[in-house]
Amino acid sequence: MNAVHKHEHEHVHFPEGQMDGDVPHFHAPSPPPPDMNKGTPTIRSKHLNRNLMREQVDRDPLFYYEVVSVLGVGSMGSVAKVKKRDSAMGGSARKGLQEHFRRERKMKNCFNIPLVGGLFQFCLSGFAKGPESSDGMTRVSSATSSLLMPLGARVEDYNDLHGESLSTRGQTVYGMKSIHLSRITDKAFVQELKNEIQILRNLDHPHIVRAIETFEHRNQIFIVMELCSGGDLYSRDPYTEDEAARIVSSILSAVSYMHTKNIIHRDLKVNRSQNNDGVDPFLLLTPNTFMSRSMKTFCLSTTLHRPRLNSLILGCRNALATRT
Amino acid sequence: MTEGVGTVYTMAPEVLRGSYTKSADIWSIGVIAYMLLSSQMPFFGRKRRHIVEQIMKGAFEFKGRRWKRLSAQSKAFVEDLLVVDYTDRATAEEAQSASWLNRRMSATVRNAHAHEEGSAQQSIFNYAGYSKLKKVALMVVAHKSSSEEIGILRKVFQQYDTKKDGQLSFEEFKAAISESGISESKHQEIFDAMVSIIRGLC
Repeated sequence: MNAVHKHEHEHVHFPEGQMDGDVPHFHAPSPPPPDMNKGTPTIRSKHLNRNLMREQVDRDPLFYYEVVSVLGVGSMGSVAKVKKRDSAMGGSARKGLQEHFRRERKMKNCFNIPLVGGLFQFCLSGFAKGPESSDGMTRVSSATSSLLMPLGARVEDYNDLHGESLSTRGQTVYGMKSIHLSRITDKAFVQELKNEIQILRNLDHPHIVRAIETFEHRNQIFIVMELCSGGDLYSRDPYTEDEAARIVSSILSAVSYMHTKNIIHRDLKVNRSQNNDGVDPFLLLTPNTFMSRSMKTFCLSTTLHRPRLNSLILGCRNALATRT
Repeated sequence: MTEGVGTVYTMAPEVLRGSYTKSADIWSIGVIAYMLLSSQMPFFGRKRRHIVEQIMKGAFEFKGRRWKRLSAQSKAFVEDLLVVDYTDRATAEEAQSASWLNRRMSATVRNAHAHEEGSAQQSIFNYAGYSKLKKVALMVVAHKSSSEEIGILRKVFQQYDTKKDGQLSFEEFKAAISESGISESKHQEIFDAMVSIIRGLC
């Protein structure tokens, strides 16, 4: 009755120590602010054959992510749709890119004035799309509300005047699951949960939901993963035979991948499955613990590939059981 | 076990009995396939006990209007998976090669365009020549890319992955790039270059 085969243990290395934070974290391209770093970022080569899931201990996930909406609340925790905070995005290159996007957008509304050697641009603020467009016409017609700004002015200033946030552009949203450890009385179960997280990081398959990072904070576990928000497989019923074949083959490929890793799902289901809004397929392995009272730990949700429609995830309830 | 009826219907007989292997998942997939095809459950009943009884017997049938319109291949597929004795049940590999799953999927949908494949191949060859740091960096980029962003590569990968197990073996890789005009000895070199980073030999 062990989660993974003996052979698998050799790769997995999930003794308690690992969750206690004394393992150097591999810092992905967007490292947290320097003051949050406990030590020097270290690359552990063995992490590279995993899916680069990052684990953080004693850090508040809300420092990095902001909640867009709460998707569900269960007895042991909740699921929320989150996006990364701008302040938590690292990398000078990315900043430059964002600025570029902003400038590009701004330029659409601007033209150069052939005065003083073209040093000034004339920007019409009224062309902005969206809710403002109703009064847009008046803005266009009156030059007073348009913006005269020197070339190369700080784009932020311009945006501030608009009061519009461009920061959400191209933002990826994730699903964040939180599990209150205090609501779990069974110690063994907590350990099992942590073990399952270690299993999660070993799986990297297009039809398995990927965990991005995990946090442990104030007796809660947070798991940030790809967002699956499309409802379950029932919600799209009925299917054509071709669709069914495609879905089944997605599940099969994910399941057989898990089997090569000696993980048994044990509880594949049609309900509790979810769709993904993305264009591409996933199969998700998600800790769904708090959803099921019988709690066997993780859920493997299968996302299915449906090219023009959305991809689906087939969820499960208890147990990515994996006990052979 | 106090779980409701809803949680039982995809369970394999051996799971209900309490000792199971990988093939339990295959059974579940059979049930899911049945349900997707017909919008009905293969095993049902008013009470949990009734469902369990049916599962143990493996008693299901293809009845109703919807099954009449479905292909014989689909029925054969479900029949292969819903076998009570798990030693006789199809394995994941066998199931994946089933004719039903691979039918009618046109090659244009399934396969990458020739130029996509060519550029992917070129990237692989280039990759082999990069410095270790660049390899590691690219590996991170790849890991952090969304499925959308690497959709083309996925097609190429699936083409290479003839066993369809989600992993590329050296044999599969060799077969895939054999037409590229690269010498045999180079094959191993390129493959090793890719694998070395993953295996952490860097």
